[in-house]
Amino acid sequence: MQTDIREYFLRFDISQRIQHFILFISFTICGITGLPQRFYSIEFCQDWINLLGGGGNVRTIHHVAAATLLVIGIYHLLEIVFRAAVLRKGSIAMIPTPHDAITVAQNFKCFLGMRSEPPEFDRYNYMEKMEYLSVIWGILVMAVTGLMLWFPEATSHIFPGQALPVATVIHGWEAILAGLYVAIVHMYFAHIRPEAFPMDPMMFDGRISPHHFAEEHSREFERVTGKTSSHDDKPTNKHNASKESNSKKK
Amino acid sequence: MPKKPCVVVMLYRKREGAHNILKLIRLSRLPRVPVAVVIMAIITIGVVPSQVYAFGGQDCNSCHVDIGTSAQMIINSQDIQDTLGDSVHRFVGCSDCHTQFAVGAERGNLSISQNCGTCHSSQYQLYANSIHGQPVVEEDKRDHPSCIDCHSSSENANPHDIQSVLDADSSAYRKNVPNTCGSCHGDENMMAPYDLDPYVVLGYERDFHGRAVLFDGAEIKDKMPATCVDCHESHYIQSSDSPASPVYKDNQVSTCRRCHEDASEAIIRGWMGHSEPTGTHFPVVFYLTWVYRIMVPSVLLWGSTHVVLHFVRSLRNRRKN
Repeated sequence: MQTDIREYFLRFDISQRIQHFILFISFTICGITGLPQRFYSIEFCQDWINLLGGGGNVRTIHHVAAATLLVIGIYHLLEIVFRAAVLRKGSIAMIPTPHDAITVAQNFKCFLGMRSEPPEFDRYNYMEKMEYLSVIWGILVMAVTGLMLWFPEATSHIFPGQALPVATVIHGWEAILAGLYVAIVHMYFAHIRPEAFPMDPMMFDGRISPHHFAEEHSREFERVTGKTSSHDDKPTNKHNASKESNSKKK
Repeated sequence: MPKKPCVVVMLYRKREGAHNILKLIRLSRLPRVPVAVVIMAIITIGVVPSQVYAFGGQDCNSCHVDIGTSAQMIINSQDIQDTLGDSVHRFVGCSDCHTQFAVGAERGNLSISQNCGTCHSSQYQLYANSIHGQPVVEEDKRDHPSCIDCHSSSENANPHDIQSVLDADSSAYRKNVPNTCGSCHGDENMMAPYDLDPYVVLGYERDFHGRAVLFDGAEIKDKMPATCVDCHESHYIQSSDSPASPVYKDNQVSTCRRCHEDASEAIIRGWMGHSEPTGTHFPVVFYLTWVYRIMVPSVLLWGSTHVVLHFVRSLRNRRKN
């Protein structure tokens, strides 16, 4: 399908892209310094930690990256509040709706060839919502348990004694879950899937082509352009709320 | 070739001292090259005589060179030189330890410990009253450790291979303590007669202390991760049921506070010991682990199902177009 690449929609603004970039860097650093500590008995992990300068160094790197991650998480929540309360442009696009449950069923039907059209996803499909909310929840859980492990003496004053081993279990398992989920699912949808291979640049330039927009987020596309997604892909100038022209390039 | 004592390591350990010397040289404005030559000379002289003075300057190895002087006493001088030349006892004479030359004199835990105690008497006194040493001193028990079982760095507890506890290769060096204790306490057969749990070694490694020692036990700093002996004591080790032990239930909090000074008394209730959580021992940890064992694969299955099905559909669409 030939698309007109001179036209695109802005899907993520600069603030969101910067946040994603910092999240991606600090999450990766947390992962590559934290998981080898979890799987300490594997020889490769020991070699890796020694390569990074031993346990003390690795913990320091881990703490710095974790603090960055926590700061970016807090900034994100403040931004949500700011957009809603001050700019009056609050969005509930990430909140799960009954429509998501319908699209789950439709999506599986489509996967299995029982339906020809892909489901009509809104701005975020159910997988994206799930991932986003997991990240918010994950940062919260990892921050609380991580701070407990970072400051065990203070923890012993605030929480019951058993909290420390419990925090160890939660921190370790959540890390495995987040690491593997990102490595398998996020990597697939951002890099491997045939439509995006080798990389979907959307999170770095913020742009989505009308064709992909109409195909992957047809509900929002209709709302924004007033057109049905299956026919004319080109955005019109009447509904340019989230559209920018890029005719200078190319 | 016998190994030379590692001067670089010694200098590294006394880094601050070396720093001060360098500062002094800089301040005194002495010409650098002659000073460097003198320092090199001192180092060389310091290294070379370790050969000369090994065996305390005694001439035992003029006869004891790869010969059997009796059926029981085959002395491989080269072997001794290899280990003793690098040992902390390289300036100790042979006859300081080998006081008796009775043919057929048996080497046992008791005789070895007493030999060490001739010089290291305070350690011997502590050891003689410990759970390790008492059975040796009173009954000459052979399955209890003597000094060399922990302090010799050879696997067969070669008494000539005693290293300083500050030597990073020493079996009594911080980083190596868990391995040294574990060589007996992780052995099922050795622990069975005393009804001790050989899992404690793995349990310790799983714990934060164990991992920290594994990864940075070699660093010397003000607060170092706890090894076995930091909580259990070394020479004066007692059964955890004995009120004299730092890990006796009433002493545990103060033992934690040796490092975790600001900890509340609750910290000890977070200590799982060296055993795995079970339905009765730390049930919250036990059941939470199971929740994750089920939840994590389920979420990943959900995600990877999407990956696989999406990939298949994409390829099919592509072929169609």
